[in-house]
Amino acid sequence: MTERDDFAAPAFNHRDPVYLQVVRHFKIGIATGRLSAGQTVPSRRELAAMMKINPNTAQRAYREMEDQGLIVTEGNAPSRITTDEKVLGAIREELITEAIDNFIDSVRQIGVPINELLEKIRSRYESKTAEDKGASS
Amino acid sequence: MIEIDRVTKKFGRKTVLKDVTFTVEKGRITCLIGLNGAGKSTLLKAIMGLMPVSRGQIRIDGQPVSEHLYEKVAFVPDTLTMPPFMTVENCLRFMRDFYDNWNEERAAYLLSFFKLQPADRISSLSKGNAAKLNLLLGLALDTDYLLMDEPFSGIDMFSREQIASVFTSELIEDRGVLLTTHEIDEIEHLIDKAVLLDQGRVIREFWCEEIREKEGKSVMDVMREVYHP
Amino acid sequence: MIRYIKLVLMELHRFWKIYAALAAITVISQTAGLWMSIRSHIKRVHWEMELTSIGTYAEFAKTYGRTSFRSIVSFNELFFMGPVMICIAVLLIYVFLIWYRDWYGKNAFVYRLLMLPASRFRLFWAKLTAIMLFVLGLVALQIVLLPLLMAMYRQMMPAELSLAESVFSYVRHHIVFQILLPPHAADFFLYYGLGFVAVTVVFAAILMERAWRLKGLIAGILYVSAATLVMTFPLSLDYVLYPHEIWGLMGGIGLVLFLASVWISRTLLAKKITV
Repeated sequence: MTERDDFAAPAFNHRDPVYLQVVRHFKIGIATGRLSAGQTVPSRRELAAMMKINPNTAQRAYREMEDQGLIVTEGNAPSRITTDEKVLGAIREELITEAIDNFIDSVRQIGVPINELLEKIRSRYESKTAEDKGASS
Repeated sequence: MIEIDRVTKKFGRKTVLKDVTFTVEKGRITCLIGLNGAGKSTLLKAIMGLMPVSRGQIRIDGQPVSEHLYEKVAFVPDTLTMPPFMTVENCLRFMRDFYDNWNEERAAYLLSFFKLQPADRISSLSKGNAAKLNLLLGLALDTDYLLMDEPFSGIDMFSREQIASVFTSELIEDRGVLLTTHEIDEIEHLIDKAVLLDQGRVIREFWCEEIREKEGKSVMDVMREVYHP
Repeated sequence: MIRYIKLVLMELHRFWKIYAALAAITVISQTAGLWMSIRSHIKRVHWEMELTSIGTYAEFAKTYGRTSFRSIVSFNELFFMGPVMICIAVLLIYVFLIWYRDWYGKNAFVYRLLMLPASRFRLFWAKLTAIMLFVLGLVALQIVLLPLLMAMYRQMMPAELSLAESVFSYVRHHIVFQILLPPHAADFFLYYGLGFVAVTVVFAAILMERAWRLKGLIAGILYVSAATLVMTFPLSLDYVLYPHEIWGLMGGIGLVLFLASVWISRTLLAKKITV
C-alpha cells in the first residue's frame, strides 16, 4: 500500500516532542518529493494508525502543520498538502539550512579552510551520486 | 474525568498509597509509572471499587464510585479473570449477557485481529493470547474510561506490538485511558500524561509533550531523575 | 431479573459434574446395596430352610417372621446412608467453596463478578439460590428413589417373606430420614427454613472474612457462634414453652438472623469487599 509507505513512521526519539517529529517527517517527505503538493493527507485516526502514534499527537501535528501552512483544509474536504510554491520552497530551504548548519557545527571544530571544504563536498557528492546510480542500475 | 483525591490505602500497618491525587482526562492516555510494589495495581483496583480505600475519594465524572460505574469504566486486570473451563466464545457470551454496552462488532473485529479461536479453552491459552483476550474483554465495552494494569507484562514481542497498535487506533480514541506499566520505553511516544509514583506517593504529574518541549527530556529521563537522584 | 437467573444458571453449571456424581453415587449405592441385601438375605433363608428342613417360604415366615424393607436395608445401612452423608458433606463444603473458588480458582473470576453492572447483591442471591437448588434437588432425588427402591424390594422378595410398608412410615421411623425428609409439610419448612437461614449466616461470615481477612475471620466465627447460640436457645425452654411455641420462637429468631445476615452481606459486598 503506497499510502502507508508514504506516511510510515520513522523511529521516534523521546526527547523531542513527538508531534514536532511528525511535522518534520512531513517536511522531509515534501522536500524529497515522497509527498506531492496537493496530495490528500490521511485523517488523524488513519495517521495515528500508520505512524503508530496517539491520535492526540496526530491532531496536534496537523494543527501545527496548518498553522505553518503545510497543509490546507477547504471546508469539509480532506486536508491536502499545500500547493503554495512559497511554502514548499521555504520548507526545502529550512531543511537544507538545517542540514548545512548541522554539518558546519560538526566540521567547524576540525578547522578546515572553506575552499578545501567546498572541494571535498563536491567530490563526495559526485561519488555518492555515482554510487547510487550504479546501485540502482 | 476521573479524579483521584487524596487517596490513602493501608493494609494493616503498611501504607501502600499516601495522599495520591491526580486526574485522568477523557480522550487522553495517562500512564501511572512506578517501581514494582509501588501501589499501582492497588490504585486501579480501588478506582474500580474492587477494594475499599482507607481515606480519600475517587470520583468519576463527578460521581463517587458506585455499582453503576461499570457501564462507564472498564478494567483490564493484569491477569485474565475468566474461569479456566470456559472457552473464548463462552467469555464473549458472558460479557454480552451481562453488559448492555457490549459492542458485538468490535468484539468480533478484535477476535480476528488478535487471531483468537472461539473454541479454545481459557486453560489452554498462551500468555500472549490470554493477554489479548483480556484486552478484548475491556475494549469491546463501550465505556468512557478504560483502566489497564500492566498490559504488556510478560508477553512476547509480537503480541506486544499488536497490543500497542490498539493504542493508536480508534478503539481507544475518545476514552480516558489509565494504564500502569514499568516498561515505559516502548510506549513512551504513545502516552499523553505521566504520573510517577514512589513509595505510594505521587511525585510527578506532567504532560509528556510539554516536558519534551520545555525541558528536552523524555519520560525516561524524568524517571531517572526521580528514582535514582 | 434475567441476569440473576443467568448467574444462577452459571453457578449450577459450574458444579454440575460434581452434582451429577453425587446423584449417581446415591442411586447406584442405594440400588446396589438393596440388591445385595435382598440377595444375601434370600440366600441365608435358603440355608436356614435346608438346615431346619423347612419346605416353603410360608412356613419359614411362620417361624422366623417376615423381613421388612427397613430390616433389609439395615443389613447394609452403609450403602444407604453412606451416599447421603457424602452428599451432605460435599454440599456443606460447597457452601464455602461457592465463594472461595471465585477468589482462589486459577483465574480470579471474582474480579469479573464484582464488576458486573448493577447490584452486586445479585451474586449473593444467585449463590444462595444455587445452594438451595442443589439441596432440594438431592432431596427430590431421594424422594423419588425411595418408592422405586421399595418397588424393587417387593419385586425381588418372595411375597411370603416381604412386609408391606409405606414410604411414609419408613421415613418417619428412620433416624436420619425423619430429619432430611420430614413427612409433614410444616416440619419440612421448619427444618429446611432453618437450614436456609444457617446458609445465609455462613455466607455473611464468609463475606466478613473476604472483607477484613483475619479480623473478618474472627468476626465471622463469632457471628456464626452467636447465631447458633441464639438459634438453639429456645430449645432449652422446653419447660416453659409448648413445642409449637418453641418452633414459633425459633422461626422468629431465624427471620431476624436472616435479615441481619442479608443486611451485613449486602453492605460488605457493596463497600468493603476486597479482591
